[in-house]
Amino acid sequence: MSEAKKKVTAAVGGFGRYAPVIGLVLVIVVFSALTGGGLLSVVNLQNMANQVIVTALVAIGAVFVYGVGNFDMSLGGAVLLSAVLGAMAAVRSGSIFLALAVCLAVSALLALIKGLFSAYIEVPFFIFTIVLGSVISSVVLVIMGSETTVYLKDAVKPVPSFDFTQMTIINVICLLGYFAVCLFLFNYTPVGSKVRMMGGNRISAKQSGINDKKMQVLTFLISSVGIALAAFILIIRTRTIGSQTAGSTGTDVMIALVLGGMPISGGPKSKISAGLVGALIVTVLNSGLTMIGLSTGVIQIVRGIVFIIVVLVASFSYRGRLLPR
Amino acid sequence: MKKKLLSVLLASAMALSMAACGGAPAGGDSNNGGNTQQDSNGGSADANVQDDGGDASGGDVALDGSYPAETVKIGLVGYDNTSEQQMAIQEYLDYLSEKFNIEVMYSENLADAEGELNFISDCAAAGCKAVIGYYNEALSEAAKTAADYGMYYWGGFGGNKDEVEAAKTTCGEYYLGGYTLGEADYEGGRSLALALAEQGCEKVVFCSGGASFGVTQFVERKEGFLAGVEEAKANGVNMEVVKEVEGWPGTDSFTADQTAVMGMEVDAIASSFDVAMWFQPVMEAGKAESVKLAAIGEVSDTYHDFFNSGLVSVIVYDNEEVVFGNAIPLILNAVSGNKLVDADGNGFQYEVQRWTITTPEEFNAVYDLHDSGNWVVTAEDIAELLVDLNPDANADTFKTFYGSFGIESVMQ
Repeated sequence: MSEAKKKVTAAVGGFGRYAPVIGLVLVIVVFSALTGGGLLSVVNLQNMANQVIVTALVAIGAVFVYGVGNFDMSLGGAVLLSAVLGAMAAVRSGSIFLALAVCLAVSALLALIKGLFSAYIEVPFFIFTIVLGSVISSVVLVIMGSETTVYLKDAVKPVPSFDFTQMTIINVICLLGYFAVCLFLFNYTPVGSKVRMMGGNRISAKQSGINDKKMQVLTFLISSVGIALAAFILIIRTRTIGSQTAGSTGTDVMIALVLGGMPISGGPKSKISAGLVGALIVTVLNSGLTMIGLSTGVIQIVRGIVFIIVVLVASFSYRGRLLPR
Repeated sequence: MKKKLLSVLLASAMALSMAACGGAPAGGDSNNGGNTQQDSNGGSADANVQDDGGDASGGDVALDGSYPAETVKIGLVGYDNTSEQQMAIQEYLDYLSEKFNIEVMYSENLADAEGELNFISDCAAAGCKAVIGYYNEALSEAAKTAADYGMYYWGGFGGNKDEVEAAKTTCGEYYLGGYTLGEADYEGGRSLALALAEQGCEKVVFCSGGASFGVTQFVERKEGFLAGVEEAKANGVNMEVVKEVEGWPGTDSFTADQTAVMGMEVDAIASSFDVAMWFQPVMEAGKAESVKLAAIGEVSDTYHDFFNSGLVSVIVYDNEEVVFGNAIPLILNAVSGNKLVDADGNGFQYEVQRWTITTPEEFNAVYDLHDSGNWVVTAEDIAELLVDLNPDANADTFKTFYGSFGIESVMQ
């Protein structure tokens, strides 16, 4: 490779590293212009804070899981089961604190199951999670029995409700709090470097003294906190949990991670910001496209094209490198 | 690398041009000049309404999309943009958008309460004045969300009176009301059974949909159907349900049941929802002449040929413009400061009829009307219900108008 070509490749690679953030800024600028500034109105900023929360919380936690190379397709199912059981607890007790505790316990239990399976069973993990997602859906149907939806209005005593502004505050606190903790763990503790090393080359990581089994369980447990928070927020925001709840969360999280610049097979290029940036891109895009009044078909086409652009640009940063991811 | 950059540039240009093309506002022409009046379709001469292209002066208004002066944006919460009923509603609202200065935003396919609430908040950001809750998973929470943003909310809540009361409380002035079909689900099931009994069917298969999962509307339809069977027996028809098919098409159990039914001697298959999934099995089994199909469904292309051939003999039908289109006059009145209210000062539920269609003539009457671009309830009819255009319009005239439509009135 000539020197000039190397320089060009390096420059494009450098650009690609920041492509998700640039993409986010571009999407904001373009849709702000198309909506006459409506995209960044106070009301819509609050809207977007409420809309981004579930995908962002799950995606941020998923960086740890995907980072070690575990492709988890049961994230939506985990949110669903936590939300259903949490909502049932709220209905039977009238307590949102119990609902939160149940959400945390259920998602932690699922994380433990996934972590142990990933650590000790030699079966492709993504196949296990596909099956697990399906099993969770069935379990939810069995648990709900003849009821198709759990309504908080049926609680034994009134469950506190939150207005729009209160909900926004709760969302922002949860999101920033969880992001800050994950950022610290991923960037400033050995947990993050171990995750990246395991995703890069698990055998080398093991030989360098990393306890890969323990680390795998730990990544799922960290991720489970985001899942539980997402389930809890769904409960208090919608006050309605059905068997279809969080049905698109798994896909949304994967799209968000890819758009955020996360290599889907994990490794050294994994970054915690991917979950947040990607979720923001998806939310701004959806909100902007809806606001400019496009038909639903055109929205899907434009969204698909934008996704392809961002993924293409993001791919410049790692294509042709020594360790393609 | 050049190819990659070129592909990105081309894709960007495509995305931007599509976004720009689709974003044009649908504001109407505000030119109201002229003065030629014409009676509306409903026969009343009160409304100051003119046909398209007519001139108007003073307070007179032409139904050319210029009323009201400011575009009224409305969000419609739907669950499936490909469902025949939703497409029919969209077609009707497109027609009304040409006559009134309204613009309707449609949600993408929604499956849960979160998506529903997100769409409602997007509607607010897009400047919508009202939301039509065609799909409603979050129940009164959706109405509350709309009200929080200062948008009017229309929704029937499937006749759930508790939710209507909750919406009245939480939404206050922003709750417009919605239709109720009364005991329509029960009556719909009963009508299916009685219509089949009248056609001489004795051995009947019943597809109960979500009844076994406890879905209220299907439970009620099943109860109504079984009551109809008992009623038919009391009237001397030896009718019985020989098999109940539970659940939904596409599942293994449903397919297995279909196979089993095709091996049985039956006179009719009644479905508490769509019945199109039985067309192929019945025809392939060579039973198109001996088995009748009955459904709670649509007057649509899907059923046209099969109804006329006699394979489908009963359809219990919610006419789109009567059951759902009534949201438009309520919204237009509300945004113009003339909200129609009940005696208690709140939005109200009003009864509309579900039609039982049992003959090709009845089916074709509705089908041909829609096919030729006409509607059971026209824009001129709606203008009669707008206080701005007809000062005599009120909640009672509204209820009487929409409550009066049945298949008989269409035939007349």
